[in-house]
Amino acid sequence: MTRLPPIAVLTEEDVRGIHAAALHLLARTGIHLPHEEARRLLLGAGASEDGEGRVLLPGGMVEDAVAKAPSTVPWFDRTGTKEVPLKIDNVYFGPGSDSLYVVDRETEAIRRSRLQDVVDNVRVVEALPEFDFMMSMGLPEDVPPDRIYPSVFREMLLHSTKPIIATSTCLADLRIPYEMAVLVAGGAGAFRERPFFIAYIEPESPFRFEEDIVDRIWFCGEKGIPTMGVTSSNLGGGGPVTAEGGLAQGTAESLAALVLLQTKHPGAGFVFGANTWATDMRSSIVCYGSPECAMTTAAYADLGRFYDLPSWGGAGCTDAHRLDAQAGEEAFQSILIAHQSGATIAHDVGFLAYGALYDARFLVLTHEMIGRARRMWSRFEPTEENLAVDVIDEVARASIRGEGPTIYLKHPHTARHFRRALYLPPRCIERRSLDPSHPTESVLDRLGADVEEILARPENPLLPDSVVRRLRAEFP
Amino acid sequence: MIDAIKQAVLEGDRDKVVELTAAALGAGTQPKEILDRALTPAMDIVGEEYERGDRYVPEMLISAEAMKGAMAQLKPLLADAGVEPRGRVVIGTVEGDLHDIGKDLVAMMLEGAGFEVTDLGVEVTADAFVEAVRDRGPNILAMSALLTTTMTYMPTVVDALNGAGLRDRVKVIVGGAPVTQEFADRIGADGYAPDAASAVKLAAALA
Repeated sequence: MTRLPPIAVLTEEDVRGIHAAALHLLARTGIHLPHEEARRLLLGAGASEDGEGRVLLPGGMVEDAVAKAPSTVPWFDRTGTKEVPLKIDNVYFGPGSDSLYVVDRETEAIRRSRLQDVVDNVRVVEALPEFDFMMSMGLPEDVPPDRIYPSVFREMLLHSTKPIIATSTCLADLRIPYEMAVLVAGGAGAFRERPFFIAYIEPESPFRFEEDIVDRIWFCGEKGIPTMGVTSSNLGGGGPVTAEGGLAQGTAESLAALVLLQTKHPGAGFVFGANTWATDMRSSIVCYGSPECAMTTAAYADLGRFYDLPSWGGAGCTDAHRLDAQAGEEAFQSILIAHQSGATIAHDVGFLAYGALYDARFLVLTHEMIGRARRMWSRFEPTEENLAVDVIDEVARASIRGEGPTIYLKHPHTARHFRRALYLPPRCIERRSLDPSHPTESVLDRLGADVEEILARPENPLLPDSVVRRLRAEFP
Repeated sequence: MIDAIKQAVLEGDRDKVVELTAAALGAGTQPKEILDRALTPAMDIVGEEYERGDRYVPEMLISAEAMKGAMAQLKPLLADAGVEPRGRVVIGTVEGDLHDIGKDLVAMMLEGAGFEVTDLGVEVTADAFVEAVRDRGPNILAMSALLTTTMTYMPTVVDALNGAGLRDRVKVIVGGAPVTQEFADRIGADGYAPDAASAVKLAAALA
């Protein structure tokens, strides 16, 4: 199936306007940059300081950094055999990270996430083919705080082969996973050639590039880990309430991270974009299910196309506290838009409660939504085989004569083409005939059954024994 | 050769099945061997794959069509050789209902499983069912209805069998979208199957 051309939510003029505002912000407001070496480097490369010590970045410097960044960044699955190149218009869906709570599979109660929940969710996502990459989906309470990020990274390596996006809060959170990746890849050179994880790094809005942020961005550049500087210029929260202003700020912040990376490590892989979602004006939560989440994900894809850089976005998430109609509505809205915007990374799929909660059943449902979106955005192709004029003629005549293929379901054309012609939903989607006297089980029951079925499967060892032993021994 | 026939049935390639069956018979293979080792196992797999959700109705239909291509050649030979079928089934959709896809599928799957099937077609009256049971002496009478309005005719058929004194000579099985196990129990049928694959299992258990 061929995909329809991407949709644009920004006109060329809109893009130029946002770009101009971003450059203006970087030259006028600049960035807070306490990192001494970074200050020296940028000031030596054309930046200047204002009276408050802010580092101001001239437009030329930003445009240089954009020119140095590769438009296609290599990214692989953990086995190094499947490439998922980071490039605008290649769209990859995957879950999110760091949620505090899970829905307990037995009691259905909401409780703190534990390491076993991370393992279970990783195994569920691993089994669902529409998910293109992996994130941790949990902040386990039963792991010491300084071991959380290395631990969840280790479990992703042990239970999945999908490409990984790793989160971190400090350099050690990143360095230890990198050491594991090198062990698994069989050397630093092998990892650099086929990097299978990229690092999500989140400077604080507005324009705060603290020392550890610079350390981590540079570490990635040095080791060949594709990275990003994804701020949260959320509308009315980390950024101005207007989406246009939020996009201008998010763009400027992302470009500042790009300048930091490219000045130190020219040509290093980078993903452009920010989280510019709505802030709720009653509860002040960041709204993962807001229409603005879908809209700005698409807008960053338009901007990514302008810079010729892979773009960052979110999809398939909701603010609903449970798997209900709101969850379905909000998750599908952003999956549908993200898919066709051409956003490279659509993360946070399956998040409930604005990123605070995971329910494995929602992973199964959002996985179905991705498949559905991929079907919906495929092109109509009026070829001879698809127009099926001969078949129509045959069935129309047979249905009157009463012999031969009297209905299309019986015609071999149907058997030959239905798998590509129709979307065939997984069994969680209800399509049986209605029997009013026997109401069927709820979708939650079917989703739960799918989760249990996946987790009951024996797990094939994904890594050699010796590597597993070393991962467990050296990275407890 | 046997494996190739089985494979061609699974792929729903009727022409190939017909050709290979003729070649196998020409080379001296026993018709019963073709039935037992190629056709029946292939249709068993088709049924299992459908139950698992890996195979869909159009694929089941073309496999059944392919299998029928072989059966047309085997039937007279099996009869000549005195090979008894696994069971005899009389099947039809009930009076007022002309939806035959499900019924056809069940008939084809039963044939593939080694049953002798007499298909009375669509809109079969109680009298016609009774007559067929009397004339053909089947082990099983299978009825299907797609509509809630037509499934109410099923007890009429059961009553007619009782009236004709034939009820204990045949097992009655029912199916179709609105039909349920509970309905089957209520009208005094011997079994209910939700789809073609389970209908074969049910028939095998009752025959």
